[in-house]
Amino acid sequence: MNQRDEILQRTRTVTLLPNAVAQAIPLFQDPETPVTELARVIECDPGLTSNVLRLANSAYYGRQRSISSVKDAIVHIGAQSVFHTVMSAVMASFGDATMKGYGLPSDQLWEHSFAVAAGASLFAEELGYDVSGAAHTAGQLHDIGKVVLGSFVDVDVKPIEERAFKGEVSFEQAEREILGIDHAEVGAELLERWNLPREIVEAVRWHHEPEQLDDDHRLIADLVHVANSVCLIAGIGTGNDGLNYHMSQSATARLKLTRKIIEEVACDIHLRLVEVRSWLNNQGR
Amino acid sequence: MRYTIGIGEMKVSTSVEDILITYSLGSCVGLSLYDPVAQVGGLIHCMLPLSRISPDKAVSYPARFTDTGVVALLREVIAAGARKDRLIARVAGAAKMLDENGLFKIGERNYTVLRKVLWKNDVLIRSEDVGGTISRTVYLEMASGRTMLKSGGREREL
Repeated sequence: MNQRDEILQRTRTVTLLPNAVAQAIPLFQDPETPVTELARVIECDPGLTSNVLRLANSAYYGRQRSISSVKDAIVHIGAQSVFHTVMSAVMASFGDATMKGYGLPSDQLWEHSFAVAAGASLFAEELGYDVSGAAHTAGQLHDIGKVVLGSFVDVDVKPIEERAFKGEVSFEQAEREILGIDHAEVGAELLERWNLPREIVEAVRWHHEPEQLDDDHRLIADLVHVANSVCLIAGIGTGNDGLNYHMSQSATARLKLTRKIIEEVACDIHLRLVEVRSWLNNQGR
Repeated sequence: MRYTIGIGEMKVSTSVEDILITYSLGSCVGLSLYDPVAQVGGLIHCMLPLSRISPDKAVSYPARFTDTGVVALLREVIAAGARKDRLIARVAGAAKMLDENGLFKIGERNYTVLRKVLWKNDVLIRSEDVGGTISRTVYLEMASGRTMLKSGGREREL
């Protein structure tokens, strides 16, 4: 068995998904699911429930009154925001899983995921695309393959880094040359097993090379790509891989981005990060 | 005391016990200023080149932008007792992605603006480590006045 097959096989055995989250994913994708049903599945998991209630009652949502049930939270902050919390809890559950090889402490990976999610949905809103929810989720999960490679497969990243920085190839190209697979594909394989919607799986798979997707399925990958670029440039949760990735020339053109929009979104991402950090600090995280 | 300077923040110190550190400079620029006679130093981490993108935010967060940030840092170190003609300026950051699109060029523009503001203020850059695709961490050690640079697991004086 070559290393690629070994990694894929290992990815299939990764069971990091709490039961409640596994059940919640298809229910939240279906707009017909009754609110009571959504609430019931979240309430099965005390950790998830407290996260949802904390968020719903946070200054982030400007709540004056107190929200004490998951059902109320869904009604007040919306099913979409509750779903974001659920997926964010998945990223946060890697709390102790420092990306050894990637030189990325777990809180930095969480910040990077948060910031790319915020950026992808901000770009969607700013550019008038009605996909900010899916863009947010794809942004949150785009680097989940690094968790698998860094913690569960325990790959040695040193030769990948050397190949990337000395050979002047992008980091994911170096991963492919040395491991036979890159973190984007590993992440997509994992999310496919978790039954996430196709558009999110493919956006994660191609977040470094959105042009590999056809015209009808590329939008979310483009949004995640530019949001990820902004976060790497701003140094939000960059690891040893640094900024060593290609920027897609066509993604910016397809989205008709301007310098003004890019820099305004960069400012807003930073602002949200400062807000969420102070909120988390107040929660004593 | 050890102070972490986040993105868009700055800090001035007059205490030999302080270490001012900023992590993960991508295309952002980090500037350390130090007056060895007055033993006053400062460190800033600027994210975007020009404040005209968001003039109101530049008022509340001047350090977020290179143009307003460098001016603010100069003003603060001087207010704390430093003299402009003695200031030692060291610069790090301004990295870029591979094939970075011309719309971005944030690192390059950050560096250009920084040089321009320092030049206008007659402050020379003593040393720098800029460009490439690496992420950098910089700290100013007030006890020695040294600025240290860490990247890719290695550390050296800047």
